[in-house]
Amino acid sequence: MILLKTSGLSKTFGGLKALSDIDFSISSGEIASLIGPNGAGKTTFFNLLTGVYKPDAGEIDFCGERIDGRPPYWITKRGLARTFQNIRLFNNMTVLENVMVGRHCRTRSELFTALLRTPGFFREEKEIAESAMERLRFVGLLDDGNELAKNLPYGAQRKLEIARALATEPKLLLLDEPSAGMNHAESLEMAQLIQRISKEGITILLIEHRMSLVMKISQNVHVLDHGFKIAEGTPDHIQNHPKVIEAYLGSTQETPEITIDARG
Amino acid sequence: MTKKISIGFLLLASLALPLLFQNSSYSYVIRIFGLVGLYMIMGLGLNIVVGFLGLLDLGFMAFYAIGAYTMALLSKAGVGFWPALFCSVSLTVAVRALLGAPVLRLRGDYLAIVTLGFGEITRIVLNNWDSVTNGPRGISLITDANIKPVSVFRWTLSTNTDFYYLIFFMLLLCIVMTRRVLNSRMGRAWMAIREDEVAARLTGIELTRMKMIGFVMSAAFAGLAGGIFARWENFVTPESFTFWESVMLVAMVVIGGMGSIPGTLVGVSIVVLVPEILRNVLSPGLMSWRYLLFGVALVAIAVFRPQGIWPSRRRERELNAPLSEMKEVS
Repeated sequence: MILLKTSGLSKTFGGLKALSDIDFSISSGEIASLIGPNGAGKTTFFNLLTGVYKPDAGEIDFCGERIDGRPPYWITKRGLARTFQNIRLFNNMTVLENVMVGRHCRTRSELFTALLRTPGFFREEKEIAESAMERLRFVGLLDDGNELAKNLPYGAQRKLEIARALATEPKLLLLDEPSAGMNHAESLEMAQLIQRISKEGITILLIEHRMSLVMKISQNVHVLDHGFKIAEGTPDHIQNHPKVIEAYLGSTQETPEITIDARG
Repeated sequence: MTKKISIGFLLLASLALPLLFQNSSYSYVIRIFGLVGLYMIMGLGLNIVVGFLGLLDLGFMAFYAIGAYTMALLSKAGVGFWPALFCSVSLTVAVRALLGAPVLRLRGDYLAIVTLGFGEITRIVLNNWDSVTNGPRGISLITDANIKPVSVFRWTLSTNTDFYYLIFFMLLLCIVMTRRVLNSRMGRAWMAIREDEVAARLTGIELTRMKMIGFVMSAAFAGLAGGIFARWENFVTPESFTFWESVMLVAMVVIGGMGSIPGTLVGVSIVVLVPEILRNVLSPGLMSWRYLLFGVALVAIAVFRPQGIWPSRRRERELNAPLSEMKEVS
């Protein structure tokens, strides 16, 4: 079953065509990767899916519903969550609170229930805290729950971002370079985490420069270059695809085996 | 435990303060602490906007003014204190919502400019709308026979001590309300917006709506303080609500520690009390240096302790335990 589908998706910034006519689809339960040289439009694609930008042309269908042009909170509530290329946490909140914020779109209590401290308020707060702890346990950060997010080591911050995204109960999780800046062991751990998330029934689309990770865990790989989709297929197929090799090696001299450290 | 004891001690001291000074030649101290209380109420309101939403509001006194003038005009028309206070708060909130609707969609810097402008517009309107506000002469509530006394059940409030207690209990109420909201889904959403607006938006928070609720709630505090002020002072004039006062309020919140309730209370106390103390300590020749000294102190705090005197601490929770057992340290 197709979970998300875009057709003819385009986005222009000034004179720059960031994305041209992208047809893309991902099926439920799949782990797919989006690769391409720097500036290919991968993050722009994520930004269109999550409602940060409105597309200039084309449609996005998610679970049989048009989501293009909708605000981000609406899209998140429909079940699309993401992480960011440069980690964006709520730094001065605790690790647990970061994940609790992820529960926002699944809970309702506002000003008056909070002021009056109704039984419903306590029930909901309890639910928020418990399900946030569950996500923290899932990514292995429960013991750091009371730390401020900014005090976590880099790898843990990446996991925390994922836990926060998971707390919104996504059907589709978009990961923007989850292993950027990690060493080999950490990236293996990240691969395992992604596979565990997948086992929970969550569909995953990741942007990744680390080809070993991409080829190991994804069922399908989509390749962007200069805003165009140039290839799509299984990892084996993509690795030998002439256009992909050209995009990576032909003009820019970048090799896919080099991982780009997004921290710098 | 020590925390509980010190809070209890502070509460007792606050309650006893008027009794100690009531009949001495220092009775004006009661008045000053009453004022501190009113500023604390406003500081708590402003703290929501500055400390939690991360927005700079440079015209907060406008809402104090709207609360005070609403109270003054309604009292003159013969409306009782409590209904008039309710109207003060409601009107302040309504005006704030009208202001917030267009500007909260913009980025934070614009908000600073708009609120600054709104603060000045409010003062100028009050100064020039003679037929309603009596212009720069202000509205006096002393001589009017129409005016109903301020009473709580059968107790009629007239002296500084009476108003001190009224303000004290209102302040407690405001502290409890603020605490409750901040330790809820709402407060976490506000903090998330302050920390990273983009991430908050993409984590499912309806930015404009959440900002609006905080923005409006903050003004309710100013309206409340303004309403009480009008009946306590029995006189309102546009000169009480200048840009300078708005700036001082922001200074109080920043110095105390943005986003921290005790910080706000400490910041207010310092900013209001230090000039008063200097007034008494300094020789007449140095009096005019008072604000210079004060200014230097503010700069020093900003440089050496940018997080404020009493910065907020996050709540610690018992991990793996049900909510009822969670500790609070904020």
